[in-house]
Amino acid sequence: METLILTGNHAVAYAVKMARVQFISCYPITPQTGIVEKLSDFILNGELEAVFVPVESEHSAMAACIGASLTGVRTFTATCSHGLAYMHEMVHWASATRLPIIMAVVNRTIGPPWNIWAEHGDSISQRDTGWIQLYTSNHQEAFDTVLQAYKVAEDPDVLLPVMVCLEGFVLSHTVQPVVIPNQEDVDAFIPHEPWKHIIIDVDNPITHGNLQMPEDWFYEFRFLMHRAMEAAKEKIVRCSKDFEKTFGRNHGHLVEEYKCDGADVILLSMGSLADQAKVAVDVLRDEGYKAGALKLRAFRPFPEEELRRVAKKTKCILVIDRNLSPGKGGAVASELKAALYGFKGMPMVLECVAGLGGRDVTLEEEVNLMKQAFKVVEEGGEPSGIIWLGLK
Amino acid sequence: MNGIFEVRWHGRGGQGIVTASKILAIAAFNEGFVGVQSIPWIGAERRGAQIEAYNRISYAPILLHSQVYAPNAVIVVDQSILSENSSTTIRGLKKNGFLVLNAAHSNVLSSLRVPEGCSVYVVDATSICLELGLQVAGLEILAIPMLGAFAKATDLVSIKSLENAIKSFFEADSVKKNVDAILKAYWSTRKVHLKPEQYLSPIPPSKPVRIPEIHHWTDLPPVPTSTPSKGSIGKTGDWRTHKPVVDREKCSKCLFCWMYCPEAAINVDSDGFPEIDYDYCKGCGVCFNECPREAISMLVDEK
Ligand code: SF4
Ligand code: SF4
Repeated sequence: METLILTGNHAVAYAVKMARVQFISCYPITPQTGIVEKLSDFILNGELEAVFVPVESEHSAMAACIGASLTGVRTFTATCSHGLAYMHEMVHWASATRLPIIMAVVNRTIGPPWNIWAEHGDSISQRDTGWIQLYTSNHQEAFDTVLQAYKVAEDPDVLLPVMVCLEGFVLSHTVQPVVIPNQEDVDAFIPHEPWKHIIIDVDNPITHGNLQMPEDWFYEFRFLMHRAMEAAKEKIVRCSKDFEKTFGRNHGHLVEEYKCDGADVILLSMGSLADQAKVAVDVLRDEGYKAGALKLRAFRPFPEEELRRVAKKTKCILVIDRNLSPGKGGAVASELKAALYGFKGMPMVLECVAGLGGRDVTLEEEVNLMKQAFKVVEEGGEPSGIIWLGLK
Repeated sequence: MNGIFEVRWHGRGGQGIVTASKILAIAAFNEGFVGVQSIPWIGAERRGAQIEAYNRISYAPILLHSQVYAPNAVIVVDQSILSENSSTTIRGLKKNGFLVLNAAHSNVLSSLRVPEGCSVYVVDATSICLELGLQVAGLEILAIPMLGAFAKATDLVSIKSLENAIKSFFEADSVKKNVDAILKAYWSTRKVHLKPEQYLSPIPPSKPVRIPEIHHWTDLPPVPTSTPSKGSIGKTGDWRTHKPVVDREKCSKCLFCWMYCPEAAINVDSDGFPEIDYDYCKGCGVCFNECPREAISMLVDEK
């Protein structure tokens, strides 16, 4: 065990190496490039025994991963933004073929106007592809989540690919200490057993993805994907608990609570803002506010029961979304409201869209936002549309 | 007529039932029906495969968009379909409904079973098409004369409305042939008299099951896969109305036909000549079309 000072990108690359990934295909794109470069180094210097296939596009990168994963080997890719959008068709193919591919998404805005900085909109717009989506708040969590992702994805009850998301630059290019576990412990945590549901073998040819007529079984295959997502909820929790037993770290399972008991206002967010929200809560608690923070780790599967369990404790949940669906609002707020609707004793939900295009969100801004929410609660007010943070 | 009159067409890819169902919709509209609908059933697009199309005809606008399950009339343009599986063909046909058939052999007619009160009409659509040269890419457009037979059987649309619909649908030079086919069919359609034992209670509406060994989602693997097998869809030779025959005198053994056959129904014999496997040759005529030596002819198949 050792502690290295790593960029978020390199933290991901180290995790991929320790997971003994056998096949990698990537197309470089800012700010993900550091992952690809580091993995190439690992392969070049013999630290990682894997096939690396350079390709001409992200669409091909995912197609290559699908082909490799079909032979039962552990597979990895990384992309973001326009690259992910370009990959979109194959993203569906991977999940509907139920292949446990892991992809790091180094969240970046989609243009125009041209912008390479952080935003969750790229992965959020892949919401309905049938991939598990885990959002990480710091370098250590990004590292640990890659390892956990392989365990969850390869579980025979799940067999779904996973996106491990970390914000571009905010996490990808900054450095923080990352505890690197012993290889034996990682090997024991995620032993590689090739999946059995579909294996390409030249001596026993098969075809897959063949035509299903409307009256055949297409609908049922989609039902099975949904079931696998539902099963993944429990598997993510179990995996995260097992991880804690082995490695002594816990980043929350599906959601992570911070001082939510007795809180009148809880700030819900994903990614780096969720880490920062804990500091905002401490500031507010010092000033006498009953504040709490909630981190959403799994966006797919969406942990409705866990969110309701926490929601029951409070008067108001304030959501910060680092993504925008123009004409509706932020994705997390929308989905949270849908999860709470119709259940007894649910709190008010206030929604804020912030940090688009990499616009920095400061601690002070998070604190002030929460104070705004406390004011609405105290005055017995109600939600009045999206709160735009620092709109000029 | 009360409510909605529903029609189901049965044919094979290339025989024109989708076109004919559109023409029927236009004709019915011309006739004064406000609600008309033509629905093609888009299945695996394979020339020669069984396909269906549907019509709805009503005095009120139609808000239904599902397929037709309990038709008032069933039109079968290819009699091999009826002999292959007559219960699938008349599934869901309503009491007092209409069954309109292309030139069924007398043995097919005598073994026919239909729901109570149904009327059965026949016409020799194949001969009409051959006589008028109503063919496209070597296949008779059997569904066109069947429009005339349908008009005669049901009295829902007039010949005049069909004629106008044909005019709005086809280029001027092919209008006459199509209208003639409809007229000839109208005047030669006859009602079949069935014996009392040929009536039965209606066969419930259902869809044919394609993968009978799976009953429930719990039987499914996470991903469907298939292993290569010969004739997994059955003997596609049963679909054939025309039979390709190779003239070895003209054949140069270039094997274009072997390469183009969409069913892989052409083998190569020990002398290097193409050898057609008639168990699986569906009679699509692709080989006939591709042969550079015109060594393949398509003959009407007398199965
Ligand atoms: S395409 Fe014609 S000439 Fe060539 S092998 Fe076939 S039948 Fe013979
Ligand atoms: S042998 Fe010719 S007619 Fe028969 S299926 Fe093949 S291409 Fe079609």
